[in-house]
Formats: sequence, structure tokens, C-alpha cells
Amino acid sequence: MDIEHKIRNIEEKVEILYDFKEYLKSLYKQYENITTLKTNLMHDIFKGLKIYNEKYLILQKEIKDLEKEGVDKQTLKEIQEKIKDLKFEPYSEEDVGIAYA
Amino acid sequence: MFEGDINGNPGSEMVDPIELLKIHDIYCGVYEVPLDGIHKDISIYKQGMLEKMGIKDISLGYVEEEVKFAAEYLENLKEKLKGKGIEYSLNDVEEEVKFAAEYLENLKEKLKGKGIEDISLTDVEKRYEKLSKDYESFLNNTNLFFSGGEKMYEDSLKIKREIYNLNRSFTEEIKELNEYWSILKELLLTTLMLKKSLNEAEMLSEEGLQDIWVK
Repeated sequence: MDIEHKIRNIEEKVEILYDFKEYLKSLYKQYENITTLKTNLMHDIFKGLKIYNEKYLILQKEIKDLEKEGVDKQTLKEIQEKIKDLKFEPYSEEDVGIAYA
Repeated sequence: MFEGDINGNPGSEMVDPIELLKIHDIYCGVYEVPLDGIHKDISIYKQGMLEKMGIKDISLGYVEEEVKFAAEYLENLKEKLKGKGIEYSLNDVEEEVKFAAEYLENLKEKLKGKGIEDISLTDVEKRYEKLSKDYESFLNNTNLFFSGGEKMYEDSLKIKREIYNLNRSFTEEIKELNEYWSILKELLLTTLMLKKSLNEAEMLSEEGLQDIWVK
């Protein structure tokens, strides 16, 4: 895969992870609002979060590899900027917006 | 009262997932999640409390039958005590059965308004299972996309669509299932109260008859 192709691929993955993050946040909010089915929902949140975190780390590694492959600094900076908010901290108020912080 | 804890023990306090995340430090990096120990809520009820009591499923229809049975049983008991001056001992139980019948009637009306004839624990369980399967399929596709290397645009659009649909269906379904399950728990409670009341009625009438015999 050429560099350009790889960069586009990484950009797609970044977008997917942002959507995924929003979805997990919405699951957390639902967990707050419901009174029953909590264990099931908690199970699903864990499953999703595990995969999300794996993919986030993969993406970080792929971006690091780009650096080794000689991608120019400006492009690299732009990509790093894009993943800046991807880190999902489920117990921060900003990420979940609930009183767990 | 009916919630289960992380190890599936009914009656224990619900574990906060965020607290659990902190305990196991899984966020961003450490992946080992003790999922194996987490039982499904509904299974806990079915295999635990319900089966122990000989109840296979809880539904509107089932509780209706229970209320009908309780009313008939009480009627027979009253007949048995007739003329012995101790019929008053059944007043509380009669109130309980009346309350259950009224509650059920109101619930039926409420559900009818939503176009629902009956709800059952098994239905709720099946619907939740479907949601989980859709979610599982989305997670698998995400895995495939990330490991696919060359795969791009079309696949990523597909995953984005999946997230959108999942979010929509999950939000709507979970609200509805949550509501149904709360109702089912109330129905279960109604059934338990009825059974308890009938046992009390039986005991009171036996005691009453014994007192008359002693006098």
C-alpha cells in the first residue's frame, strides 16, 4: 500500500473511532437512565470499550509507522491533531457527561 | 431488590461499571476484562428466583391466571368458614387479591393503548439477545476493517451506517425493554404477594377452625 493510500486508510479509521466513541458514550448515558437490564448493558459497554481501546492503540502505532516511512512533518502533525480527542476516558466528565468524574 | 451484582448474585448492590473500570484499570491499554463472571440479568431471574419457585416465565397472561386462581381459592375458603364467625380473618387477603386484579386491569388498559396484548420475560430476553447480536456483528466488522489493511471507503461507510442504526435501535429498544422489564418485576411481585396472602389465608382459616374446635 502506498503512503497516500495508508494515510486515507488511517483517516477512515479515525472517523470510525469517533463514531464508535459517540456510540459508547451514548451507551453510558443509557446505563445512567435505566433501572433494569443494567448488567446486560454493562457487559456490552465492556465489550465495546475493549475493542475501541485495541483499535485506538493500533491507530497510534500505524501513525508512528508513518513517521518511520518518512511522511512529511506537516501531514503527520495534521493526523496527530485528528486523533487528539480519540482517547476515551469513561470516567471523565467531558467524555461521559455524568457525575462519575 | 431484584438487581444482581457483577457475579450474578441476585439481591446484591449493583456494581458501578465505571468503578469496575477503575478497579481493573482496563481503559486505554490493559485489555483483560473479567467478562466471564458476568451473568445476564434475565438468566439470573429465570435460573434463580423464578425456577426455585416453580415459575417458568412471567407474563401478563400468567399473572392473570394467578389472580383468577387466587380469587377462586379465596371464595372456596370463605365458603369453608361460612357461618363460623371468623370470615373477617380473610379481609386483608381479599383486599390483596382485589388490589392485584385492579392493578392488572389498569396495566392491561395501559398496554392496550400501546397496541400490546401481552409481554413476557422470554420476549424481553429474546429482544435483548437480538440487540446483542447486532452489536456483536458491528464489533466483528470493526475488527475486520481494522485488520483488513487495504479495505477502505465502502467498508468504512458500512460500519458508520451500522453504528448509526445500532445507536437508534439500541436507544429505542432499551427504553422499551427497560419499561417492560420493570412491569414484569411488578407482576412478579404481585404474584409473590398473592401466593404469600393465600398461604396466610390458609393458615388463618386453619387456626380459626382449630380455635372453634377447642372452644
